[in-house]
Amino acid sequence: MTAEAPPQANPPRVPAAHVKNPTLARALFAMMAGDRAVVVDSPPGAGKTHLITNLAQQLHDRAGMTVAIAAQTRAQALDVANRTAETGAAVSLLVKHKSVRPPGLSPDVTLVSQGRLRPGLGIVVATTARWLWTPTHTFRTDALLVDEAYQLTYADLGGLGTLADQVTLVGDPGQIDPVVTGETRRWDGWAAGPHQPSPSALLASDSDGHVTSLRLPKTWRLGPATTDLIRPLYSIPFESARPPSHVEDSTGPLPEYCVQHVTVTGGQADPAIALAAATRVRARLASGSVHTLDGARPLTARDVAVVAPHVEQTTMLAAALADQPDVFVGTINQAQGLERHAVVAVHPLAGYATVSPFATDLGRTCVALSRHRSHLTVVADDRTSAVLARTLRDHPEDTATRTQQHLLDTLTNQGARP
Amino acid sequence: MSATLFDLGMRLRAAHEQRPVARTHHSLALPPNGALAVMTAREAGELTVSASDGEREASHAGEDALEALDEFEVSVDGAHRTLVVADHGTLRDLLSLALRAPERPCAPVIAWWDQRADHPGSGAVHMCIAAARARFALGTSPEAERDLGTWLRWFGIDDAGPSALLQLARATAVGPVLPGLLDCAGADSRSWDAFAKRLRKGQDWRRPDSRTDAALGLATRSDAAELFDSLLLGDPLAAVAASFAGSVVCGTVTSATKGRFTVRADRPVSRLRPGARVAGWEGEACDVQDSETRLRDGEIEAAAMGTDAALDIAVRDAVFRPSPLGVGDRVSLRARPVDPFQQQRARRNLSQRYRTAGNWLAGRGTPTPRRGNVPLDVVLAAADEA
Repeated sequence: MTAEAPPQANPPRVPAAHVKNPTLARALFAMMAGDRAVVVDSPPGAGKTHLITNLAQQLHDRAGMTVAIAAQTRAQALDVANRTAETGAAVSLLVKHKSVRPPGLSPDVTLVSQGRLRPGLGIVVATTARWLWTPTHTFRTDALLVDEAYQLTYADLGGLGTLADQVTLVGDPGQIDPVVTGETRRWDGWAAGPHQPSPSALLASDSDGHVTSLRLPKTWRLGPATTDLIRPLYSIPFESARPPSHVEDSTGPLPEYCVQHVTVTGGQADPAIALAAATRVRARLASGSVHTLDGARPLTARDVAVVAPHVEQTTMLAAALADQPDVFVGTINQAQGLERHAVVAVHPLAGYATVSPFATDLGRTCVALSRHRSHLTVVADDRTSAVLARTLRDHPEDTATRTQQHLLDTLTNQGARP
Repeated sequence: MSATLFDLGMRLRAAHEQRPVARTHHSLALPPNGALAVMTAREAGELTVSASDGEREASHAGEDALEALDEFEVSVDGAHRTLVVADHGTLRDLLSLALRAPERPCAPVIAWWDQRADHPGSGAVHMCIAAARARFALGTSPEAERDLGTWLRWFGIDDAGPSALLQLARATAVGPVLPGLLDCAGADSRSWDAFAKRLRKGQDWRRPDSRTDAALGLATRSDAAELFDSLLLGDPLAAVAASFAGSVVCGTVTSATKGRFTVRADRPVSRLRPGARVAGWEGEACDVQDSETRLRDGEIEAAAMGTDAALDIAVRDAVFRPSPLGVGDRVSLRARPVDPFQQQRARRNLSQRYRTAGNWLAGRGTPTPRRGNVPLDVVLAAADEA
């Protein structure tokens, strides 16, 4: 690897993104220098998509590399394709059939079907599922960039290995692990097992130091209090770089987060949970305003989301808020990647009389606690603290339950409504 | 009514009638013909293995515990045999014994059983408690259902040894077999033949999974689980239960044009999201088997909740056989059934990708990255400590 000054004549356009973002610059350096794998860990709202789109553009336009991007859902693929096109790069979205142009796709993105996949299409974006069906011998790129890589299993990453000699994985290690429908007990305790999130498994299997590990150090979404709250869920250090922002209601400024306890007697489907969450959403919309460096303005439905762990809960919420179609209502899984100024989140343990792996999953809790830019209200079951304490008495080694208790205590003690 | 309340209703009915209440019309397991039931017990740190084929019983302890299986000539020579156990605990015990005595003829068979137990719909291993819980509800708490003794009591089985497991397995496998289940069991034979072939070639059954083995092993497990769940929705009682969880959505057709129709759902809970491919049938959830008019294929175009808390689901590209439904007709929707042939193609594709030369992420060769000159501005920015 050698450092080379840009040529004097006809200097290429040098994008500024990497100058302001050392992590992007390091990822670019590693890929241009020929590192075979780069893993970029990121906290919520730290600019993953910004990094991956600018990395793709610079590898393609400056280094002349052929680049493929793998997203994990169709919506993510569309978003990444649009945002990569905004960098000025030539971008194609790979789809099964070209007949229907997906709604919302930028006119700057070329649609390409599998049969027409060939070199020279610019940066090609597709879902992992689509890439896994591309021919192994007729299409190969220099670099594969994987977005939301913690949602991709190591097994599927291995399937993508036919695509490129170099790979960059960008993702949030605190989010929900990949959805795996099959039994995985055979590989319990194997950090490089096929069901593991691809970045952590790739690092675990890297005995000879071929994987460059980087991290995005700042969250631009979360305020300092929320950053402190979720930091125990991460093994990487990070800090808040969010510009000042808060929500006010008729009583004054709201804290970054607060908790509302409700009495739940009917399990996860108890209407009391959805009712409390919907009431809080309506209160925000009735008198809330968002205050940023740009000034103050009323909180609108597009600024608000309400998330819950169970489909039954989101059904009740959707019914209760049917007159507010612009409020995002969805499961916590669906909310991955979402950002709103104000979020109301149903605590994952609400309605549980005993803990379950689903309810204590720290990834799900992390997503619920990290979608807001200015304010979060957590609707929690007033029995949850006792349920966690009882579980810890019986299973003191249960770290997920212990972390849940710590989070709930912090939410309750630090997030008291002023 | 929520899925939880529906489940509670079944338990209350079972308690009232003092008999198990069926969760499914069909049997979710093949009858355990020619099966071998095994129990393990630990006393003073020593494992005892008891086995029964319904006619005779063998029991051994300590170092020779697996002799109980050897007495039934359990080996990879010949056809495979169904193992009947209470739960995974017994398999764990057997596997620990097999690892300590790998030379025993039954040792590799135990390893094969342990693998197949991860595949729902497989007939290689019958887990009595899990199979009984999937088929019946008892008038007890869910926790009590995890105890074998509870099931033996409710089914009036007095035996305590491994033959009791055979009786319970037969009792919970009564009735017609779930359509498609025999095909799932066919995978057992293919797996057995491949396993025996590898052993004959000299492969050690204790060898840890390679990356390729593990990836394909996860794929077969996931496919088996998804196929079984899909087949289950073809059972009338299971479909009714699923309608309370949103996996089956029943309603009335409110508009219908060529290839497109809208359903006003009876309940607002639905797991059928825009973009999902769906199938369906005319009538209620319980009509899944008997209905003649079928929605072969369609795609959810929109799912919107009204201010009256009613859910309207629009379906496009609808293909009905033999004739389309009209306004006012009743319909039930579900996710399009899993196609086992498509699953097979996907596994073959994954296998081929893992075996492709140059797939360095799968451990095939070393990559040859492009090593270019790094522009100075990138070098400087990468060195920035800010």
